[in-house]
Amino acid sequence: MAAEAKTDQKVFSPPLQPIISLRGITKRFPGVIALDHIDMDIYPGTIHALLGENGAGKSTLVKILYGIYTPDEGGILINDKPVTITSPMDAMMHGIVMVSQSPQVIDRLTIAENLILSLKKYGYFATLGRISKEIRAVAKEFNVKLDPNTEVWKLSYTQKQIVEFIRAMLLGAKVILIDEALTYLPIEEKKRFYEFIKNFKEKGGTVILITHKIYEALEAADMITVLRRGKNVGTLTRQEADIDKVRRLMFGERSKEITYERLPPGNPSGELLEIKDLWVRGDFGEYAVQGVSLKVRRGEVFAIAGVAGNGQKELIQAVVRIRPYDRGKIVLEGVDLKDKSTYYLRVNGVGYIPDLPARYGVSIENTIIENIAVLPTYARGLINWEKIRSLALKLIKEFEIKTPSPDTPVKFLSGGNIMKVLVARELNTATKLLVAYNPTRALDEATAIKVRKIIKEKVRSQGVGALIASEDLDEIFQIADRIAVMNSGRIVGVFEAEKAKREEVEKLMVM
Amino acid sequence: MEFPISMLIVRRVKPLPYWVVPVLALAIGILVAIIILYGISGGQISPWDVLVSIGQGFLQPHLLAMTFILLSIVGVGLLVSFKGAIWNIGGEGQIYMGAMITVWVVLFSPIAMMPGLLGAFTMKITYLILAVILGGFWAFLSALPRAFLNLDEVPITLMMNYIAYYIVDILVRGPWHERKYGYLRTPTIPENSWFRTMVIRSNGHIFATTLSIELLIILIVVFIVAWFLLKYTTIGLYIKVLGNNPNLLRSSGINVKLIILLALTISGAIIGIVGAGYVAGITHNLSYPVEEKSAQYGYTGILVAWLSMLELIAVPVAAYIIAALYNAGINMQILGAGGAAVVNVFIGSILITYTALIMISEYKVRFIIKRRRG
Amino acid sequence: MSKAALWGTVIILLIIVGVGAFYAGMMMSGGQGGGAAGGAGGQGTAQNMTWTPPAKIKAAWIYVGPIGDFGWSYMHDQGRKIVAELYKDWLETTYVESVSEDKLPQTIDNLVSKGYNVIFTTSFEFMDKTIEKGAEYPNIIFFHCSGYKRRPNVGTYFADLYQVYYLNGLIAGALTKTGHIGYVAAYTIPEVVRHINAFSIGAKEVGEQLGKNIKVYVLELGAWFNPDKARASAETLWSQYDVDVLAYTEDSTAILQLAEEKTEAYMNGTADHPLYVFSHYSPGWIYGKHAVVSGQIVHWEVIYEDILAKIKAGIYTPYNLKNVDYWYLLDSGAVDLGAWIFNNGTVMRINPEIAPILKNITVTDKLTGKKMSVYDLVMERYEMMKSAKMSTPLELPAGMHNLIAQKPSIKVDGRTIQIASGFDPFTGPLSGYMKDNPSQKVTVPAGKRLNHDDLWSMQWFVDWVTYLGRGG
Repeated sequence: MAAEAKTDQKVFSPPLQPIISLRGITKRFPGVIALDHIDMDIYPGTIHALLGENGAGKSTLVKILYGIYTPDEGGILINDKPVTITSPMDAMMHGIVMVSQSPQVIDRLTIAENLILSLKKYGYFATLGRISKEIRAVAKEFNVKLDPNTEVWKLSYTQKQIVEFIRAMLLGAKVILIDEALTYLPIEEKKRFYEFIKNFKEKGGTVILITHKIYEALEAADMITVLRRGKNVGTLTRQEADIDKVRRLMFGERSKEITYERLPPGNPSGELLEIKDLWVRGDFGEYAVQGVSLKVRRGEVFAIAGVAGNGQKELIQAVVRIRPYDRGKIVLEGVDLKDKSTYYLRVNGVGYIPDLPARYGVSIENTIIENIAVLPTYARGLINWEKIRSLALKLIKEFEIKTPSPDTPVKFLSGGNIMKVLVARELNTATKLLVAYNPTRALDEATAIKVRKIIKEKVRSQGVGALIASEDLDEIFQIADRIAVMNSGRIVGVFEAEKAKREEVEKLMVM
Repeated sequence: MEFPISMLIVRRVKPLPYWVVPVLALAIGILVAIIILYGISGGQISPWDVLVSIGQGFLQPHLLAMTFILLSIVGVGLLVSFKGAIWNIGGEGQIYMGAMITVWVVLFSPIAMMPGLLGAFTMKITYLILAVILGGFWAFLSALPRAFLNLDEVPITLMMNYIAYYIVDILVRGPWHERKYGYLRTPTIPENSWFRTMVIRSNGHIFATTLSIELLIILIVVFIVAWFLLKYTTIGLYIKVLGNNPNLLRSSGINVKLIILLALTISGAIIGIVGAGYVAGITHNLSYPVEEKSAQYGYTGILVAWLSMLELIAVPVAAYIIAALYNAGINMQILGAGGAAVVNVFIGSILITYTALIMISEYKVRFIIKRRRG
Repeated sequence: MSKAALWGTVIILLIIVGVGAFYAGMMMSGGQGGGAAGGAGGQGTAQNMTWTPPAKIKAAWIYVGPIGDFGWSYMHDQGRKIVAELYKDWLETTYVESVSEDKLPQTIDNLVSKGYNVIFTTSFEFMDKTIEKGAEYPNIIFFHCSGYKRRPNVGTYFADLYQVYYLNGLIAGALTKTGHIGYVAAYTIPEVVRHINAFSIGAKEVGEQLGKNIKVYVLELGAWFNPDKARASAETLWSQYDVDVLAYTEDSTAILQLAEEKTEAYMNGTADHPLYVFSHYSPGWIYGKHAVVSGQIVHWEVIYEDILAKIKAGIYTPYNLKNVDYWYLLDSGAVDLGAWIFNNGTVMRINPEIAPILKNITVTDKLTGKKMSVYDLVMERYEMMKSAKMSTPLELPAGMHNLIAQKPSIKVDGRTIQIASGFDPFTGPLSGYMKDNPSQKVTVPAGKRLNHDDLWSMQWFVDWVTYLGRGG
């Protein structure tokens, strides 16, 4: 079917007829208009970015395209014909397939088994052999190495996403929706993915890339549509777009707040946290952290830069005592943490922002207030819900969390707002030390900068120490007082932030 | 070769209102059961008789009160662990531990040796507390391997049922069996330790019920305690989070093992009460072999908990429905609409339909006519 | 509306419906109860001791097992059907099967609310509940089968098979070649223990004379109805203990079918010993035309017929049943010896394929010293026990049971008049051991006949019984 879609059309010639047109799409949720008369055209053979800040309505729009929601008003045209899409099955029949943030695969099964399950068109008697052959063919076409007989749990996140793409290919996708699926990929892997989708585009496919990262849109897209508060505020071609223009569209007035200037420095005082010759094992028993030593002072941000997978995750987890360590010492305010639990840290003013918030940081089935009360800092024994609720309301206001109420289950919030719930809770918890890993990755630019400011302000004014690992160098340079570079489980360099040079840090990261 | 029409099951975006699903599911379940019975009996079983039986079954709260109360308590107990995604299949064992200790207290303990030492009330409180402790302890034993070795609790709690059965069997066959006639049962427990069922006499009419006011009060207390636990205590919150995302508990500094132990122990403690209620309220003795005499509330309770969709407030509703269906079965037999086998088919088909519909209520069924594309 | 509010509404509605139904039920039970709870309800208050038998007797039977078991519950239901037909002018019946002990109160309440005024509870474990419910409904007549507790409106009844088991035992002692006899017991409660002993006493009486070392092996099932376990237990006894004759107490036909297979295998020469069997409770010859030798048959209708007629006649009232206890033996007709009942009423006492064998074995009657065939011995004993008709009415009032054992005969005008049977298998000398404590010996002195209470609390085995524990 992919072959059918292949036309003589030149990739960069102006497309004549949109493959998908949205006309006046409106969707209301109780108390909010999520989408307000959206018009939009998507042309075949393009990568079309749908850009917007957290809660702008991107996900809602995609869900409408994918038949998970139905619009209250307006219609969808495919190849100029009006269609109704009321389920993902409908969408697939029109050649629209979604690749989501969390891969929909079953870990115990192999790639081929997973795909056979989800590809109804192969019927109930499809053989693994046939599927495996097709998987290999697609993988070869797109230049990736993938053994269809590998069990899924052995795959990395990126590889799982590739499996999702292959599934889309086997389904004969003409349009692929990518809903923030690339946000969590390390930069190197992201680049491979851009290749992947460009390859797909060159074969005549269409990609709708949903993202809150401007550079992602600028790097990969041919067309960029910006949503703000449920409205289409403008569509630009790649040539027209530049970062300022897009920012203005995206954030309006708030775009002025966007700055990558270094935030005012902290005022370091006494030593807070000391790590001495720490050895920590990774998930497969290897030493992920190999003899790290560092000191964090009160009133400073100590940032750890590094490419993903160089031991930062294990280091951070060891510090908050959810991962055991073999050798070395962690000392907080003169107390050796060897025999202390995470509970001890939590009730003693240590905040922790883990990576992948939905997996480690919040329980999405529970409500916002429950996600706050679960910290022993806020409730022990009996729960005073009134107290928690007023705290929640305060945090909701302070962090502009978009939610109907503090009693809303977290799963109903957008990805960015989920992250805000987590960050707000942990910042409020951290009266001594904040430990974080990629604290702003799921946030849009304006919000991310705001969160950094709040963190820094807290560090400065309240003398909190912060140990932050991040894969985002912009973030590191903006917030850090000192920067350590971590590579292959070791600290390979420590710089005073004001003297640090970006090129030098980058070099050490990939050395 | 493809069928031109295919049936699709799609997840509902907006779930149906809560009351619609149970009511519809029950109605459809009853309809299915009537059709099945009509079919298998070759038209012998009249749909009208079945409907009358069901109507009577539901409208005799005084007859199903005992089953309802005991099933509700089991349901609440199971719910506590199910909320934490800890699947306690060991209700039977926990019930029999509670039953065992009750029989011990009232017949063989030092207290029993000195009749009149404790008043009826103190005696009841004593065995209830011990039943709670023993039921909890039994569940705690199954929780240990789950918490510390991460072994699946389902087979473990299930096996603990048989261990409990056999322990009680050994006692009933051995030291506890009544000596006078030599039947393999314990002596009848003294009347002052019974939970008596209510009998209303007026104008020569006698209206006996299976309702024990004391057990009803116990149910209400258990219900309030469970509600408070789940709503206002951190333990309750941790149990709920445990079921959804244990990683959050870990990063919050909560001892996950402890919460697993607590979830099962509290669950078992509540269910232990049912053992006391079963012996003191119904059988007034234990007889050998318990695994065949058992009313199997521990297993039926699982159904109650599932049908409640893990909503505490819905547990009594689910328990009422199941108790009413069993009661309808008795009515069917009296009416001559069928024997025990027919009744089992009847209850089974209603419950299967009901469960299936409840489970798929989050989904909707759609028919799609396929067109050739290209 | 919030979710909680919706649930709240549902529950409140349920409560309203429930309370409404509660009062509706009360009124209904009142309405029906008037006609049903019979004369008493019509005549006055519950405490009024006058009683007029209701014009229509509505009798309900509650069974512990399924009536399809071809054993205990099946035979009770046969009895029910027979009296229902016999008394159809004034009797209406129903039944509820597979009722567990915990569901009994609810079932009785339900029956009473539907106007049933005579209730038969046909299982031992229903005893305490029947007494409790009897106290709650003083105007309803209850009869409980196999128990020993009574009250003014709760009588008891039982058709006892121990004499028949003894007769079966005589045959078993003659038939066995290995000397190893088996017994598959549902439970080793007193009722079954006396059956095992009676069977063993018979087997030894004949077997010993023929020079066999009789041993009886007992396996216990722990269930009244469990075909799989019963079959497996019988198989164990046959294959591991060389048992070639078997009796049992279990409510299915599984053992009969197994015995037929084994006996056919023996006849074909593929097994070295057969497995002869005595069918239990219902006639079982068709399930094993080669293997079923004889068996125990029950006619509950004999008892039901009597009870219901007396209720209808106003003899039994809810105020005078305190001492009514039917303990019906062979002489009453409620139990019988046989493998099959033909349509014309003829009873096949002993399988005609096997009868010739028994006729060819000669033994001495220990009572008279006469030599006769085993077949004749069985028939002679059968007649002795069967013809003691005078004791049948005495076996009705609870207080008289023990008297019969003490005074089986009286003298009138110098003649000895047999009241009870001139012979009873449980007559000393006997020796045995306690079931739960084998080191504790039990002896019955020569000439002493065990009475009703001894039999009903029997917890010891005669010495040549080996209890193997739970099998299956």
